[in-house]
Amino acid sequence: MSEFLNLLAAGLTSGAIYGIFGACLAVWFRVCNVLNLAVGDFAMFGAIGSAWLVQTAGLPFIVGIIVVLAGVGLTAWLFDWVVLHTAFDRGAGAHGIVGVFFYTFGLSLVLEGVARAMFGTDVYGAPSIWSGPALHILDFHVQRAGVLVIGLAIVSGLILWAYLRFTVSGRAASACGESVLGSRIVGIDSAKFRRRIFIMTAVLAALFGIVESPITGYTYMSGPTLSLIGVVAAGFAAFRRPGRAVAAGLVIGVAEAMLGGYVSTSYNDVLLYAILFAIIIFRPEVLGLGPEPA
Amino acid sequence: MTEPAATDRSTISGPAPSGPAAGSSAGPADVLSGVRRVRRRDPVPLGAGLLIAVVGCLVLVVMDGSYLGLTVTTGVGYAIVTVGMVLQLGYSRQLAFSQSVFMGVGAYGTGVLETKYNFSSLESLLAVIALAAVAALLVGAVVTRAPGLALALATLILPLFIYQLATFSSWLGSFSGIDGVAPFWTGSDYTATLVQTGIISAVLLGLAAGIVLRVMRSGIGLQLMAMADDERLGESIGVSLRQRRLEVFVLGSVLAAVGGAVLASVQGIVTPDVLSETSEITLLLMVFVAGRKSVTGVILGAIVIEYLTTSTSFISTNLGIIEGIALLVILLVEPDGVAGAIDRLLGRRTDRWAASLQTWSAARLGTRGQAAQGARGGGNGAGNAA
Amino acid sequence: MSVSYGKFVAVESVTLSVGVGECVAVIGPNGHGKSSMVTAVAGLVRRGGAVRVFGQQLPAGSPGAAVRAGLVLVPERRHLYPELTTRDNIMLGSYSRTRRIGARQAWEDVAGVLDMFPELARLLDQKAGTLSGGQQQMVALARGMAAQPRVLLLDEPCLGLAEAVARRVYDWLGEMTKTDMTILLVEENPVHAVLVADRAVRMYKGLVEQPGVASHE
Repeated sequence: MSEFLNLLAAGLTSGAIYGIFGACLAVWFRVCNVLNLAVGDFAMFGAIGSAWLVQTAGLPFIVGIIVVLAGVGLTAWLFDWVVLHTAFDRGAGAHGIVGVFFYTFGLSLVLEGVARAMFGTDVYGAPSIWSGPALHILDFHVQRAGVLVIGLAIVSGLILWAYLRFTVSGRAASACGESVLGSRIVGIDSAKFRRRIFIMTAVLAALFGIVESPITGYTYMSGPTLSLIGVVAAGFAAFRRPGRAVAAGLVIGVAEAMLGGYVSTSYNDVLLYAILFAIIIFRPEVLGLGPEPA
Repeated sequence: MTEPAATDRSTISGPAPSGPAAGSSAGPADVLSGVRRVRRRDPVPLGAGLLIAVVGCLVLVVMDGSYLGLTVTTGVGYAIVTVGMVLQLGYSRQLAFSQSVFMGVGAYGTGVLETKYNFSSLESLLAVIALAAVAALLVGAVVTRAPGLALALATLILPLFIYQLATFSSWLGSFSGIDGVAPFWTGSDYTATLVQTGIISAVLLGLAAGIVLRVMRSGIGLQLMAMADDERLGESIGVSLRQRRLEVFVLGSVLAAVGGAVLASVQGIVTPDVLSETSEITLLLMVFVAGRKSVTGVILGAIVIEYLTTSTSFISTNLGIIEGIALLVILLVEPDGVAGAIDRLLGRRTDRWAASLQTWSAARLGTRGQAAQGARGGGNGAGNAA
Repeated sequence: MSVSYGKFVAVESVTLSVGVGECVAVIGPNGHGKSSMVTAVAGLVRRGGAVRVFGQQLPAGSPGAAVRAGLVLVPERRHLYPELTTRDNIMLGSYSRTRRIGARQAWEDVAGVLDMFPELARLLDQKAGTLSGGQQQMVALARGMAAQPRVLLLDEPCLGLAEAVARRVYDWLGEMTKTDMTILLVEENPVHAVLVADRAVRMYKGLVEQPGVASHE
């Protein structure tokens, strides 16, 4: 029983990351119909940046966190201003399904390259925010950082959900993604929403990287896999619903852990990805995607 | 209809009043017979294919087995894959990320058949083509049923678990892969072998280019472009979308497998890296930066990027940053890549066929009484949005 | 008050004045610039020349400024938000006012709009994408009215609607012409247009022809 609970705890922890990335992706896609494939890289920068600032530059942890989050926010703002604004507000550049993926894909390449140049290929882990040995609850262990991650994911997910559902601003944000023309004619500034939500999700991802990295180390290449699972989690939320994305992420994380514990530690990812692949192909309705015309 | 043609960059506008004569007097019958005429006597695919093969051979002979020659030959292998991607990504707008997987099928297939079953190079090449075709048909039949975004997502995940399968399978050699793959044409010494293998690779590349060009310039090519621009438009001119999607997927995948076989033969070894996401990323960059509608463009792009990757200078260590920025610049400035930019500078219209399609479909839609709105999406020609 | 603008649509130019409380119909065949003109007035696309509302010149390319000045567009094909509810769709019409006067006041004003369209009352919680074409047009009109416009631009309001529904729309429009709302109506079908318009102008190949006098009740 305790093994099951331990696996569950570990699965929920990694699932929380998948879920919150999925929520960030879903919310931003809902607003501007672009997938943020660099979300994992922002998390990576949060994790490695803060670790590096503390361990190598000797800054106090809290200062390191603030510097890193500000840096991530600034990078996101810069990317929107230089690339996304030119592409979507000025009508230049590629659009359609290519635009959905490849702008942020380019960003992700650049971020990884910069991280490699700045931090090398080492594994980094930020200092724990809530340090101490693993908690021992009832019959199982859970890392303190894990509790933080899960709690933060649930809270963030709730906030995002509430924002979209209950505030005027949130509904205006949704309107941007649903009808470009329709939102402009009522005076909604969709560029502003796109930028702000992009920055917010980038900073949130970086924060999660900081909180989670004591458990799993990050390298400069940790981002893409996380982004990809985040995309899948967002997919199960029809690329719209942050609450459902968090739930989907948790399920994926737990499934991964359970497969690892009960089936095979080597092949658990293989099975997981195969299952996800099958679901996407055979049941695209789960992702809110209709059938193609014949 | 809310976009004024004044700000419309396409050289072919939709049925806007001020656009150039979209509704010229060419009826559908004229254009169809024009297409048929061309199909019989179009010299370009054969000519281009031959030219590429000959130039490739000459270049490799000149390089005479040097390290540069090795790099170029490897680049040729990638080029074969990218030529197939021109069809998938450039002309059909089929956003599938499965090429590295099929490249792996080709590479691993060659490796396994040669080392474990003692196939000759030629036999393994043919077998790999057959294997890839079957696999692509099976996978494609399932995958092309899904809507575009699902297809993209699913093929994003595909490399992840195929890669893991390969690294965990001891039969496939785990992380170290399979060693001892024979080159295409063994010569008297290493240098001669490399050159001769290179010659075969260049011939294969010419063949691949010829096939793709042929498809692109045929009636099927027109249909693919119609499909890409606006699926309703495609349907209205009688295209069977699902069949076309499948055909494109299979052809692209088979070419990827051939490219993988070339890589295996040239390098003599197959490792799981060929299946990794990095591999797919490299391919995408080769195609997008060079110009995803240009066969010659992606060939040069593949060779150049392969060269840059293996060089030891500042460029290769920071290649990620450079590639990322290049991709962004390309997307913003010239979505058709470097080749597209060159075409525009030279004032050429590579999509002459887009013009034929526009006239043909406008006339066809007109006779079917459909509103001009249906053709609105099909009004994008050279150099316009993805 | 006058709304006057000279503008270039593709290659053409247009000059038009509309009086306060007037309803002017812009008719003519499709593809000759009617919609382009109206969307340019609303600030959605680039234009050359000036648009003045109540003597005040609107900055180009800013639909928000147009809405704040009281000039509201109900676009061709409606462009609603399909995944949001009818209520949210209508309420977002008053978005630019919400920022100024607060959500509660804006919502009270919107309630007044709903009185104009009683058939929407039971559809408020339904997703706009699931409504019929006629219902969607009502929602689009309601959304436009929620912005408390002084000048209303209607682009083909009966496009794709059944005759009975189109009549309902024109009944409503007829009511509106009796108020001091200024209306610019783009309509392909001249028969409908003359029912409510004070006068009509015809656009052909991006140019306004001699304004004609329309008969009206």
